[in-house]
Amino acid sequence: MDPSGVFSVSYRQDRKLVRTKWQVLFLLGFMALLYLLPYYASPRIVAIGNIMLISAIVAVGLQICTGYAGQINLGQAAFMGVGAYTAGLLASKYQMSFLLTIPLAGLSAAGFGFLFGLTAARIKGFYLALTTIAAQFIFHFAVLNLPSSWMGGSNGVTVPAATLFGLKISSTSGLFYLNLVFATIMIAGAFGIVRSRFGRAFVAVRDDDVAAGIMGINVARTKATAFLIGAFYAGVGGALWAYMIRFVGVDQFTLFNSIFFIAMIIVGGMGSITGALIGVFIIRMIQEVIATVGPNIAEAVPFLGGDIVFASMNMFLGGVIALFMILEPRGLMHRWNIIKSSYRIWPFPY
Amino acid sequence: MDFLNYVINGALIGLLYALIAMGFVVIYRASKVFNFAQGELVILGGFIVWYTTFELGLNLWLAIPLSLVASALAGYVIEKVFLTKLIGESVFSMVMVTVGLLIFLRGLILLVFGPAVRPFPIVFPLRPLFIGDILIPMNLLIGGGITIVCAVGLSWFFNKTRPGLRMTAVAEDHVVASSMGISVKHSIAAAWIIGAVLSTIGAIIFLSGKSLTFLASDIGFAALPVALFAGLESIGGLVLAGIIVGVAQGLATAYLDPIIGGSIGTVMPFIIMLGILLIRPTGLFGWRTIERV
Amino acid sequence: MKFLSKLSIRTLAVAGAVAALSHAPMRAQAEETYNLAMLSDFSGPYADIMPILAGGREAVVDWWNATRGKELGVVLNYKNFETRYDAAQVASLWPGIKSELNPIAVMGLGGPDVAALGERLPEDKIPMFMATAGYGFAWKEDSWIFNPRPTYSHESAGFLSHLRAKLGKDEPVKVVIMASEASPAYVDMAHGLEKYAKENPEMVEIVETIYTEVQPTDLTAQMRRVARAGADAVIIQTNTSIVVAVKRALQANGADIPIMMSSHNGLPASGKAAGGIAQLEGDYESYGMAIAVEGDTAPYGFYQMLASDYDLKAPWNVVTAMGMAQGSYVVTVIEHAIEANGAAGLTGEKVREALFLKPITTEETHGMLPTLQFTPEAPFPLEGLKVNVAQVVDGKIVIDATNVDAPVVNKW
Repeated sequence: MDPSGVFSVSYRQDRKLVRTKWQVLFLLGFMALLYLLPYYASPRIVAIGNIMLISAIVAVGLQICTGYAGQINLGQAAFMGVGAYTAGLLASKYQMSFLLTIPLAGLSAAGFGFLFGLTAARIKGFYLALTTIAAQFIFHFAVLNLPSSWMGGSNGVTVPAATLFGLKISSTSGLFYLNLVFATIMIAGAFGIVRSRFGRAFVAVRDDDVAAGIMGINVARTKATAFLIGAFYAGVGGALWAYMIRFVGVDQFTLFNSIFFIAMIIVGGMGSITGALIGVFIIRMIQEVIATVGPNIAEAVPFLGGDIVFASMNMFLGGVIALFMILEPRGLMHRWNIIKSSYRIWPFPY
Repeated sequence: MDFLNYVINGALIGLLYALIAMGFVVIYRASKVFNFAQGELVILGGFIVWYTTFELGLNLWLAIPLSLVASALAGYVIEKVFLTKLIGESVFSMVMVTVGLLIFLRGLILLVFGPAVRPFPIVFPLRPLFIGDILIPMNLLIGGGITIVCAVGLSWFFNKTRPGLRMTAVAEDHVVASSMGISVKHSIAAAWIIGAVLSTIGAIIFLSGKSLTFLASDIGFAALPVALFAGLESIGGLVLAGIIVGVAQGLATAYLDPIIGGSIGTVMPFIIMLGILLIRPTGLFGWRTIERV
Repeated sequence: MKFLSKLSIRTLAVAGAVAALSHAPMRAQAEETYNLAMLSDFSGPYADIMPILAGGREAVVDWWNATRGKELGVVLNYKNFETRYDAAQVASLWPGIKSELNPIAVMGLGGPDVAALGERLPEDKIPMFMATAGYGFAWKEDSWIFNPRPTYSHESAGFLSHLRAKLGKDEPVKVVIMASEASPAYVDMAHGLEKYAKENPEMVEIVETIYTEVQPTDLTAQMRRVARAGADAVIIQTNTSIVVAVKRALQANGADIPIMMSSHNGLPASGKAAGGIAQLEGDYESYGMAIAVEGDTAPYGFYQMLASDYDLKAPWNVVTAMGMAQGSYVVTVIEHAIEANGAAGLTGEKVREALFLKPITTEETHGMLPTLQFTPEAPFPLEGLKVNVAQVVDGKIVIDATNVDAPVVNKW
């Protein structure tokens, strides 16, 4: 809802995503802060930022597929892997520029996702979750068993650095800008998608797909499109991952990684793009904090031991997901919206 | 002769999968919750057994019943903490909660027991049974028998006894069942208790004489296709489904692996699962639900 | 102009005097400090052995600082970084490590470190030294990542040549490889040995490569085939669970075929998992570093000294030995670099060059490793490779052979 005193006087104004002048200002300020990050933050923070940006792209894709369209997708890491392998192979074998490989990676992942989307037409709920888990395992198996010359097999794929007009983008800040530019484009696109008729079709299918079908929405095609878009985002994220880590191996894209992405959108709030971003930020921040502080804790309190830290993190993460689903299934975004609206209509209670 | 051996071995392994899948199905039948964390329940049961036999040093005859009781308790606690509030919530929430439960349990097991590989007690005799040229591992043979007994027993329980029918009613629709005066909470608690106990029995058969680590939970994912194949509500059907999946996997491992030079046996259950999902999502014996809008 | 030149001459004179004076009492003052980054896993899959491994390598650096380092005027500081055995974590930590520590060397842990840093280290010009055996997929020229041991396939091939001699066979030894697709590294180990067997059919014949899960359900049927084929050994370099499952299956089949294990799933660890070392009677472990048994050997002596004087709390086992071996060859190569370039101005690049200059003798590593001569062609020494073999005899681990020549295995 809008702050009090702000009323739309034209349809154009009503449609706007960024609604008031203050919001525009804050948004621009935030973007400026982000773009200037390498100048005032330490390389470690920039590196964390890199990981967060890539996870954000993948999580936003998952949000569109699972949060908006209600198609449970436990194979997002496999789609990311497909994108990473595509980009890696195109870059190392054919020396394609990243401007080509990243979109192509997205498209190949989207194709893979589309196949699963087609099955989604017939399968619902946890059956679909199972299918996506199967995708995960089949991806693992396929990569390891296809001939080495195709996908690197057990050797993985070494990826050369991305180059732009002869400039190698391999430093942390260079990669940061690469990731940031792509993330900005993809996330802006995501906002556009969910506000379009596709987005509305997604939400309709999520709420009740039989009813949506009765209303004239092509349910099968909508579901397949949801997977396609979600996988496209994952593919782009995977390609950026390949350029960052510079080595693609099948064990970087496991079922647990998929579950992590689900955790991010649950914590942030399902059904909201900003929610996905918040979720990514929080979960990655927790991981980094534990990695940084963990050894110190292990040293300071010796009887706990290092394995406690790992275990605690898993427990914490799992507990977090479960707790959020039980107590606040709409995630932090929902809480934030409640706070925001109660602030806006204060002193009135409703 | 070899072929027969592979078939029998595969069938017995399939029956083990069926036992673990039985845990899924019982929980699903009563609470409509698809428990992704079933593999974790198996190793939780395994660790409880390890604890009672190795750490507490109890005799096997004492340790196993104690472990079963302990795992029943664990199942009850998990249900109370995580799932009671989810009665009536959407399928999606339930899936996500069990996924969260999976991570949570894995972390808990790591926290309490550590990542080291532990030996597992030898519950069943190590010497296999020899029928002519055919070799049958004892633990799988006895395990197969236990599976069939459990399947028959639970099937009878759910279809022919009052308490069982009450739980079946809950599986159909929570709201309708509670409006009929059936305690949904009790049914779900009972389901999780039975599910946990079945998982522990499965762990004992699976790991007897071998070693235990938190990675053993992968068997939970291998048992998923069996549950689906049978149809998520059918307990009796699990026996048949288990045998088919087990035999397919065994034959694939024996004959296809050397050709491909890889491990197609591990993926075979998933390929079967995909096939089932595409052709007949409700499985062999599952209920066909009519969705009303 | 004149004023300036007078000032500058005076400044120069003062500066020169200061410089001359400061160099007079040479040794006590000019202490150079360099940093080592240690990649660790305190909260991932190897968390239970990490304190032991870390203890081993840190004790060696402490010892070096107090003895050789003091003589040379160099102090090596080290810092542990938690990687969770995750390539993403390593990638995000690396820029911070580089800027904060500017290390001259990194002590790595495993696959994720190699994956994440393989392409960056040549650009950042910092070498990384591992503790484990090499992997086929990391076998590259001009590498900046080094292993003190050859690949796992070299180690198994070396064991097999020893076994063939021990059994007194003229035909090739028949071997079964246990592998798993759970990790590409396991697949890699199998491929290497398969390639060796293909190129050396008179030495080794691979009966079958069996793929299974990390926790196999049942291997009785597979072991039946193995027994019937008359295999001489089963190679398991993956993990302890597969060792135990294979052992039970072999026992069920009544087959007495020895198993060969590697360092990370060696006899002590697998013995514990199987319920006692006596269960593994007759089985072997083989790898290219010193076997951790007690006795009057240089490695054990070194361990005892570290334990008594340098606060090494870890017990004497293969993990500690791995850490000690890693620490030993890193400090040795740094020492070589100091000898070649002087104590001041050491960089990662100079440390790497020193690696190729001189071999690291087995005395310098207190017998923990054989003499290593690195070349730019591979991450590990391509010549002079040796493996050690231990066996369980009468319920105890005894050394079966030392310094067996590992054969030439070509890149696969």
